[in-house]
Amino acid sequence: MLYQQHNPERQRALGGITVHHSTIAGSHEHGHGGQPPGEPGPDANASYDYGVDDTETPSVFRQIIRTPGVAIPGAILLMFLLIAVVAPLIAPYPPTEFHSGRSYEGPSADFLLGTDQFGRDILSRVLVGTRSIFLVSFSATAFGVLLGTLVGLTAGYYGGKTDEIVMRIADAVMSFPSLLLALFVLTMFGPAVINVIIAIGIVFIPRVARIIRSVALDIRTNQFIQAAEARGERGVYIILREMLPNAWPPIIVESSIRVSYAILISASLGFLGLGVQEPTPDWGLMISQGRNVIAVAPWNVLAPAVAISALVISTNLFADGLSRILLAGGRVEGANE
Amino acid sequence: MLQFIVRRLAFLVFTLLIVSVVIFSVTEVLPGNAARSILGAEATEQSVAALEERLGLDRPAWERYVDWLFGAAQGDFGESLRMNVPVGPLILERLGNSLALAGMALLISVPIAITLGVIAGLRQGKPEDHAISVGTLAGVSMPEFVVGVVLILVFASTLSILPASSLMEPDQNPFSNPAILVLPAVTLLAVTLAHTTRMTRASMISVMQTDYVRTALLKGLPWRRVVLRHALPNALLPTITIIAINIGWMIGGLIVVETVFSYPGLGQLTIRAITNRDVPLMQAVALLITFIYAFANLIADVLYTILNPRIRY
Repeated sequence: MLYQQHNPERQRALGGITVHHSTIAGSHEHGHGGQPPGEPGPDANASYDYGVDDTETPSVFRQIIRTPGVAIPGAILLMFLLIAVVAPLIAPYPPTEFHSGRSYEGPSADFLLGTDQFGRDILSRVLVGTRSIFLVSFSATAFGVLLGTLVGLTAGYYGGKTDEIVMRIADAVMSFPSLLLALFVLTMFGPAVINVIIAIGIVFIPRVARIIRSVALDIRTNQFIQAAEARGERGVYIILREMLPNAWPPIIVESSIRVSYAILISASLGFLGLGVQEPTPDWGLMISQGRNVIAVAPWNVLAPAVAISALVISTNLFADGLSRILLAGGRVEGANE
Repeated sequence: MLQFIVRRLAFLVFTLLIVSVVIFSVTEVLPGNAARSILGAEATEQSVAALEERLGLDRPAWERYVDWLFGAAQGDFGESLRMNVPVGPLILERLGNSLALAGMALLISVPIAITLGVIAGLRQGKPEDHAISVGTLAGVSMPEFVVGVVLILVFASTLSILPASSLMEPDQNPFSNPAILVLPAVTLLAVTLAHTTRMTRASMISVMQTDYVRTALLKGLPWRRVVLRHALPNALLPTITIIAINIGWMIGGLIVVETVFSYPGLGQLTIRAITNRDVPLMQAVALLITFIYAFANLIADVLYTILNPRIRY
């Protein structure tokens, strides 16, 4: 079965995000070399090279280690992840334990970062709060990137009417501002951790689909796809076994960028009172509650604010560096929210 | 060109129709019982039925949708369930307040962003570029509510030079007390400033690498002249688009910033509508915001096409 060849330029007509496509497609010129050494390639002859020069490219991990601008935020992220895992063990108090008569105490030997309105230990709450933010942002990213990738690959592979319909729906969903869409989904389902994950995932699906589609349009032009079609493989097989393995670099970069947005949105939802609910410790919610007593007990706001700033900045630096390493030239700034 | 604009306008209308269906079904059909959520779980069946009749909820959904859509097209969004005022004038007033805030943030951030972006782009790899790049990356990644709360901490509760909240009388013009605009505008500005700076930097770098800039430099034109007359106009093309796209980012920002500072704008109204389950208000606000967002994207697309003759549709 022959599929209509795609004109990548056509994508531009679909709306504002024009720069993306040209970046990812632009790295096309770098040629189709073999897999870089140390890079596991599921389909050795079918490598799709995103500008990773195979002559002297060390493994991605080594490149990360060698670039301080990526290694340092990476290390901070690992530290946060470690805290998320061991938080209940290292937290001095259970995060929901009330200490009556000790509300709004300043930092002391008993409570290193002070207490909140119920006399709960802020240090413990900040430490344990790492868990919910990681849980929500990683799950939401996994959900959104998984579905977005499948939609994008399908649209890019089949092209024609399928592509047209799928991308128009994606455009319509994207015409809701991210935060508003997430708020809407939460209004529908009610505030709960699983619903926050679904809400952020839904925000991500069309945005990921759009980028992966433009990658798929490129992969589609390779001979191994035609070979698979000539062998009579089914569309599902070609999408999952031929296209997907060759789309990994942009998928990984997209995921790392999405995680940073997921952290941002979930923290904002928490702050607006529609994310993680009391008594579960959540940084956004802690800042929202602490804002009312900022003049008398600023530590209520400061501790979660510092934690969240460190996390979002290191996630962004890491994602930025990773995209430079995996995609030649990096991802174009700001094209997709 | 004209055909392109017409096509984009048609798509805008199509999008808004889909969006209106989504908004309507999410707010009216799916949560099922708006009347019960207003009256609370303990309300009797009769009182729920009575309220449903008063709200017209006993009619079929499509009929209510058509009514609502025609009303909305004429600016009639019904009456707010909680505030007992017509929704139309209310959202217009709040829209004005939000525009004042967003307009100020844009007006201040754009010139600064372009200057910083051009400096960083021209001094690529130098210390000033690193400082600007890392600083703007932090700006892009910081949640608005963290920036806002830190600003309150510094300027309101520690230095006591600016008000921490921007509460206003119902008919008050935000410019009548400019002090209340400062902190929200600066918070909103931080994010857009960072985005625009990064965009300008990226396009300045790519323009400086083009053949015509190199030719101009090699034929001996002064560097300053090449930068200002040859490179800058082209480097600003994507920036102009990003400013239009910024309006989209600002909407998300406004929801958070207005909540932080209790600023009576559209964003704060959105949150209030959602927490109060005020269905007519929710529908109107969501439709208006989506329209602004889609319209800003359309402007961005059209501007980009007009300014970049290489792209023709």
